[in-house]
Amino acid sequence: MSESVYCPNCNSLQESGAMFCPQCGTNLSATTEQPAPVADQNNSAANPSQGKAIASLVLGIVAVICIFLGYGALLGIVLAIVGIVLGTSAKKEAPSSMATAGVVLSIIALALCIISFLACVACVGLLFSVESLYY
Amino acid sequence: MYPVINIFGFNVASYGLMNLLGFGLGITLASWRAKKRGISFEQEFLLLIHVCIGVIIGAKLLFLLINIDYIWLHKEILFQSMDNLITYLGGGFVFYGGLAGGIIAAYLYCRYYQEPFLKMLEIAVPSIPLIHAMGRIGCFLAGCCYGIPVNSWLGVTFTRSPYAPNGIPLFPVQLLEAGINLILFMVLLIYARQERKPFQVLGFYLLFYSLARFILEYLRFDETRGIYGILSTSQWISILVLAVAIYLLLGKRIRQVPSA
Repeated sequence: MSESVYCPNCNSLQESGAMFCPQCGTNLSATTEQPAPVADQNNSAANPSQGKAIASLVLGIVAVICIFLGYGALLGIVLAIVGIVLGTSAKKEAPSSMATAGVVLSIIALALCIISFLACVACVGLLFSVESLYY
Repeated sequence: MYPVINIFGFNVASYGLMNLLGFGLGITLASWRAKKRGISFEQEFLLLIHVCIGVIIGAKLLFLLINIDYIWLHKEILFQSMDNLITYLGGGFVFYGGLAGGIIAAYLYCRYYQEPFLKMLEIAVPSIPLIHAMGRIGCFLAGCCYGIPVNSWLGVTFTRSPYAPNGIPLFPVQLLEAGINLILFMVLLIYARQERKPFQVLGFYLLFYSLARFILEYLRFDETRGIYGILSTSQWISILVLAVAIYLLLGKRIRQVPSA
């Protein structure tokens, strides 16, 4: 079975050897060469955004650990927020799996930190909130 | 009711859990609806995650601002130990603050990443009452944001709530607000089916919610309301929001803005 490609213009399935799409006449050979400049662009933008992606992933991991540290969850919320912002920024500049992992991990950490943090409050906070009632 | 739910041996605060569920549902729904408007799931999802951050910060800031004299009065107790401080920081969020924080976050995000602010915001509007309804059910479970004492079959008596006065029948204003929000959610879903003029969906939501909140505020009995004159803080804000809503719905200049 010969390899086949999709025409970028009309989405019809074509054999990879074809120079032009028989459906709409798009130059298929030109489009297959396009990835090269994109990769170049990635390389030039890689350094700052890859740094952000790594930072996001690290922040996400630390924030996940913070869930188990009681009041460390407050720190975890802050770290996860920074992780989300940095990860999204890296993802928008140059999409990479590391940036995606950073964002996803930070989101999970944020959600769990908020839950565990509020849970802490509900257990320990009983005395204090009763006191505030009679204010 | 049930301020703490035990899940797999972990004690989880029902208020936090319900809010998390609400945000999860609301964000997923909005991101899913975005596809019909030519915005990818991921694009809308990332925006809404940033909106969440804005909501948390905004809701907390307004709460601290309203209770600033209380904090000042009790500063010795508050700063006495880490426990007290974190307890105070963990509880208490004001809805209007979250709404403003979320919209500001969305605006900054779209400006920074050059995305269509208005379009993406209006897609998310029907999710707001859904999230809010879930949050209010969480309030009911925790026993905060409680209503006035009543002596009828409507009254709900809390027995082990850390917030509400236990043993007194109270009007379940949280559930009423959750119900109103759910109705508003369904109406908005139907209303937003067709593409509307810019700011119409947001204006529609703000108009109805501010009216409902203004009235509901009379049924609330919790202490930290922040009363200024004859109205509570949320009522003053409701009046402001109502004015904004009417401007968004009827303002001539705004209606001429082409949909971005």
